[in-house]
Amino acid sequence: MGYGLELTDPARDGLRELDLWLQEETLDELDALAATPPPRRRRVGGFIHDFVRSHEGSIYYVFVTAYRDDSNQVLRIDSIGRFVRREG
Amino acid sequence: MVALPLLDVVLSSDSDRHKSEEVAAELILAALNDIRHIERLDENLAPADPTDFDRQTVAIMRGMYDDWARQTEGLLDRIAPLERTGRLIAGSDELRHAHGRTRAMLSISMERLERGHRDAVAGRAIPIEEVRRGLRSGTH
Repeated sequence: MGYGLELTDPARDGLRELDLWLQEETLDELDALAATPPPRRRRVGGFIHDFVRSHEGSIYYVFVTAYRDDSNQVLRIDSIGRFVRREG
Repeated sequence: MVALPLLDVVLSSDSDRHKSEEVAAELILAALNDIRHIERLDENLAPADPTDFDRQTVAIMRGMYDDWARQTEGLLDRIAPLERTGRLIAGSDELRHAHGRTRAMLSISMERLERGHRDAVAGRAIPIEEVRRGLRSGTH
């Protein structure tokens, strides 16, 4: 059973700081994350998820923190960060 | 990563290329073990109640990640010239990925992290469909 997916204002701020293509990729990744099962890796700052994309000679690392509202079956994204490295 | 100066010594002598590769690989292994320990500690310290946000513990953990990332940057800087000469250093790709993930995590400020958590627990958030619509219309 999948969860609904929502973004907080700080998460939307983080999303806006990404390149446009990576914003779309990130939303797709979050959709898949909420689908099933919701994330279970948890640290002191909350649930976490990360993924990597390669694009035009660079590697993009995206890191997401989230809160799992199990009673309402909603995954709320707290924040989004990123780091870019040139390949080679 | 207290042994980093050892790599400098081995690299400066350049008498034995295999020795420099072996020392670099050993330091990479140590760095990967360090980040695994930090991540396990982070997971073990996660609060039992997911609505909690312990600012002090989060700040201490972020400090540990930041120390690790800075030391790892020193190691990656030293490995890069070796790799440019075509030498293969075991574990270097895995270390670069671990470093990238850590830097992505640290790119989120403490204030943003805390505010996001507070908003999420309080249910102050908008559905992804609305975010997508805003993204496509350029208004999000």
